[in-house]
Amino acid sequence: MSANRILLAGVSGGGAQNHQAAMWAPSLAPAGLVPVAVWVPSTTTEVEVEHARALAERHQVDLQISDEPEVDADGAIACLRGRDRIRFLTYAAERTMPVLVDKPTLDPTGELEPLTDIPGLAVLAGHHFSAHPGFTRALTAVRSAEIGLLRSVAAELVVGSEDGPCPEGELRNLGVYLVEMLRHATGPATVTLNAHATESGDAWTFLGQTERDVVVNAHVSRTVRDAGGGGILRASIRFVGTHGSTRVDLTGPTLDVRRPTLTQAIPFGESSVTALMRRFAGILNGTARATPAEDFLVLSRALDAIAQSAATRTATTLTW
Amino acid sequence: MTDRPLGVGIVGVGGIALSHMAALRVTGAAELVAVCDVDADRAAEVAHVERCDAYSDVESLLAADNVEAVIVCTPNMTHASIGRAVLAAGRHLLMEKPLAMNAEDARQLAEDARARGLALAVGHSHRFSDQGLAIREAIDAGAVGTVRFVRVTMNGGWIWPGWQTWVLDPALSGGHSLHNGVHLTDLACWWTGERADTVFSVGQHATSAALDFHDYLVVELGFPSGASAVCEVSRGERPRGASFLEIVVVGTEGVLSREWDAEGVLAWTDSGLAPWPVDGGAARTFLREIESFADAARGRGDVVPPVDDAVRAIEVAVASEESLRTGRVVHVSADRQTDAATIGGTR
Repeated sequence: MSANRILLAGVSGGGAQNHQAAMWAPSLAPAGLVPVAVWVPSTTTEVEVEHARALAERHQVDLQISDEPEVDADGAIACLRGRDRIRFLTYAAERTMPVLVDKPTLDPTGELEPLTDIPGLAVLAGHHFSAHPGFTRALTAVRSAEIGLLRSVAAELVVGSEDGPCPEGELRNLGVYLVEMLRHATGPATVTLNAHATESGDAWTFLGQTERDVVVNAHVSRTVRDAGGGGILRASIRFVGTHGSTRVDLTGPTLDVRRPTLTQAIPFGESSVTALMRRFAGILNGTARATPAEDFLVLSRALDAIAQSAATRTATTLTW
Repeated sequence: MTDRPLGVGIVGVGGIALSHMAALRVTGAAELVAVCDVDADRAAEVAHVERCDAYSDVESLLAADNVEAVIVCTPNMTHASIGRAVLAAGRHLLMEKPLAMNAEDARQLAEDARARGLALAVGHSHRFSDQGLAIREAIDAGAVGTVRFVRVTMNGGWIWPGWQTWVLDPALSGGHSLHNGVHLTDLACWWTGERADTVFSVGQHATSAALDFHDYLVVELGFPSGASAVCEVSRGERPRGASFLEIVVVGTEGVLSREWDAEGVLAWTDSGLAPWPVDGGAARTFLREIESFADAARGRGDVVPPVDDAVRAIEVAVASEESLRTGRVVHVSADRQTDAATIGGTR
């Protein structure tokens, strides 16, 4: 079987992010996928055009700047925002082309709602932590009751300042990863929760409980710019059940290397990004199902409610 | 000022009193001179082993000239009355947590101590633990910048007696927020350096649906700066020997964590994998606590924690139980002078 061909559509992201170049494109090959072109819409900024040009050169593919791509591809990875994203997804759906969508919730709920009206749309959110092999192992344990019935889930994600603060705030940029994982664990649920946030939106915490009494809580934050550096400082999720518990370090698996002047953690095995890309490959091959666009809305509305709780300093009830 | 060991009497010689007695055996700052317990036989047995006097009632213990300070290790609902008696008798007081069952009694004890010039310390012993102090030092040294999130998780199996125990009756224990939650919320506030102004709690009756007590409790604190804390404490995990301790402090510039296996001793036994504590940690905790108390009683230092912090811990705990009952966010005034917990938010 020949490798599936992937169109790299757009290079937009939150703040200084360039996930298309930094994350998605490098993970194509391990998943048996190949890039065939880079495309950005005519409305793209000069800075992003330069990013796109560099990406195309690195992967030795054509760059197209146009209203619509002219590419024969099996699937696409979309790093686009707002109307550009909606137009591209419409284009992809018309061609039955599944799309991995980077950071859908960087757009507000109102700009995600039209996605549910696109017939034939097949998407997968770029929420790679949900594909982390440690998380999927733990999720299996939860769903098969290896730790008994689920009673509590707690998640944390703290990152360095490298990408810079996200203008949309870290709840919609990074917190969505945690909310999605919590939702995978609890299943669709009604959650009453209370949230807190810093004024700048770079740190968020919430605690809640579902109608089945499952306790959920999460913290997400980005260090301040003056601290320098980047990367993931902490990423973990812990499940407590009636008959046990399990905790996943989402930065693992890693080797511990210590030298007199340096300590390193060297990842090994399959990363969450590669795992997600393999899942996308499965969608292209028909061995896995795409997720409905409605899932983007569910998450976005949950984030809206969390933000409202933090803003009003009152508890709120949401469904996810 | 004197270097003579502080003469200490202990009221209530079960449970936690053993840790205090162990510390008193090795410190030169204080010595155990008397014990008292409602179980006279138990008091006599302890007195024989510890070579001190045994009394059948608190009043008799307080009348002994060699008792300069008292450690109260009795059930929570007796703390306020015994505490008042100790202070009225002119004795310094180390009260095992919680200071009292409600904020009013806590504030009254604080005022009584202040009016009499007596040291009043509350047994928030985690402030004296190796890790507690190390975390505080790291924060003070700027290791993570300004703290904006604290997570404290202390989960374990059932450690209390059967249904007859007073702990399970919220009217006698104050509920889990007062009984154990104060340890965690005190740490969170100490490391954050702020007084919480909102409390939202959720809980479970994990061991039995018939419990009136949330043996699994999670308390979320909000602080005026926008910082927050999540304090999770459980005595409802299985197996009974389960133990999970994790501390995370997130700041503007980094993350500090005390992982579940931080002490570096892991054991695989028939019960499965478990972390084992290194030797001496608990002993050092209680030794530091008693020496700090003795220093304060002798006028050589301030009580730890500050009394206002201990009173605040009660306010937060009471708010936590209120939040559990109502499902609402409870706003607690950040003003040290006043607090009237008000209810906000909905479930």
